[in-house]
Amino acid sequence: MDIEQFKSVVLPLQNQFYRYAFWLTKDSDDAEDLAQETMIRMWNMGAKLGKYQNFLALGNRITKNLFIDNQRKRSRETALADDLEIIDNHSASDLQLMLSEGERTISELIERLSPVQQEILYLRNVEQKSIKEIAEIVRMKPNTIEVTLSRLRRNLREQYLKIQNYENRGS
Amino acid sequence: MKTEEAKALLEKYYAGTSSVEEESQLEAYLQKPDIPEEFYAAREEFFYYGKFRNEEAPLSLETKLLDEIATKRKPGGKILNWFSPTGIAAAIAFLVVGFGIGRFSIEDSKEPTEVDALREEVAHIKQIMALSLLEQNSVHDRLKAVAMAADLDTNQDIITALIKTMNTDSNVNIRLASIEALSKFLDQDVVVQSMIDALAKQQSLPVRLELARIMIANREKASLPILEEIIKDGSLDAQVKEDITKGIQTITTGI
Repeated sequence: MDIEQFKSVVLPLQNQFYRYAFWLTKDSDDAEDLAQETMIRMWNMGAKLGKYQNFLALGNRITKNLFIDNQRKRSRETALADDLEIIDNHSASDLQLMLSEGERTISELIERLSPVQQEILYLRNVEQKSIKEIAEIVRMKPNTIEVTLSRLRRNLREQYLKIQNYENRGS
Repeated sequence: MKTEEAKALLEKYYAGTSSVEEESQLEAYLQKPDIPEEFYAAREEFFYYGKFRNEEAPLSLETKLLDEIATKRKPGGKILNWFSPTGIAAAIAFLVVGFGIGRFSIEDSKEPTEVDALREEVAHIKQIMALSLLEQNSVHDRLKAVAMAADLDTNQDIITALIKTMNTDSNVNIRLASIEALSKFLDQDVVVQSMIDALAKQQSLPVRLELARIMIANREKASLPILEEIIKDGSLDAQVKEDITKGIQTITTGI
């Protein structure tokens, strides 16, 4: 794939890659780095890139894998920092500053889900993709997506209410 | 939308059967100030998603990306083809294990031959890694490669690769780093000569100044004609000019 093709098929997806990276990292700088790395990986695929049908699906997969790798690296570093008793001065991410208390609860609940479950919620509720599109991106059957969405939404509501009730009782 | 309609949509939402349009309608309803409590969980959920929907990539993303692609180095020597990023990762893992074993053996074993062999092997792997990293696209990788190369013992392949990097790398910082690495090998004529050539050819001022500094510190007489050429440059900073002039005197007089 030459640079002109790359510009016409991959670059237009940059906002979606960035949003997905932001959804995962919850930090604008980290999201920018992650989105950039994703597209560089795609560019480095050279001729192989042209064989893919769905660039969004490919990019999301790369983003997700890079994010998981980074997280593993980071958790190892954090463990090391804990061992060495380095004080953790981790500051609140960009997103946390924008969230209300209820939204923060939702954010924490979503973080407990598996990467694929999180991706499905993201594709539907942030990118507003159809069931069929989601199914193509995460490579599952449309029917499975519907069932998963329903289950995830119900669970989120249930757990959210549990936390709210608990907090109300405590106050 | 009436509350009853919204309730029906909410039900569909939780059943996973609502359409994107219906979810948008539900979201609009949730913006209202006085909604029944049963909508609260969905409201927080939708508001959370909404925070992401308006996010857009900063303009710098595209610029940085295209810049990175433009400076992408063409796949070069065979070594790059043998060593994919996975290969490099494996080599690093091997290296770490190798060092671990090496250290262990030094402490516990009294068989110097094995340790020496292992050490040699590690040095060899390190060399291959440095050479392959020098061919990578990322500035970070190439910088790492130069730093790694600087730690290695004198070796013709490494020196040749560093000279090539000094002469051709697109990034000034990497050229500077490779000059620093090469300055360890000034006992070799080929290194001195390549630096003199670079001093004459390089366009970047910081690179030329660094080379000039090394030439002066090393009192390389062969660099004199080019150093004299450099101080003729009218745009040169007065302080730099003075330093080089003094340097020329030092080389000439040997004091």
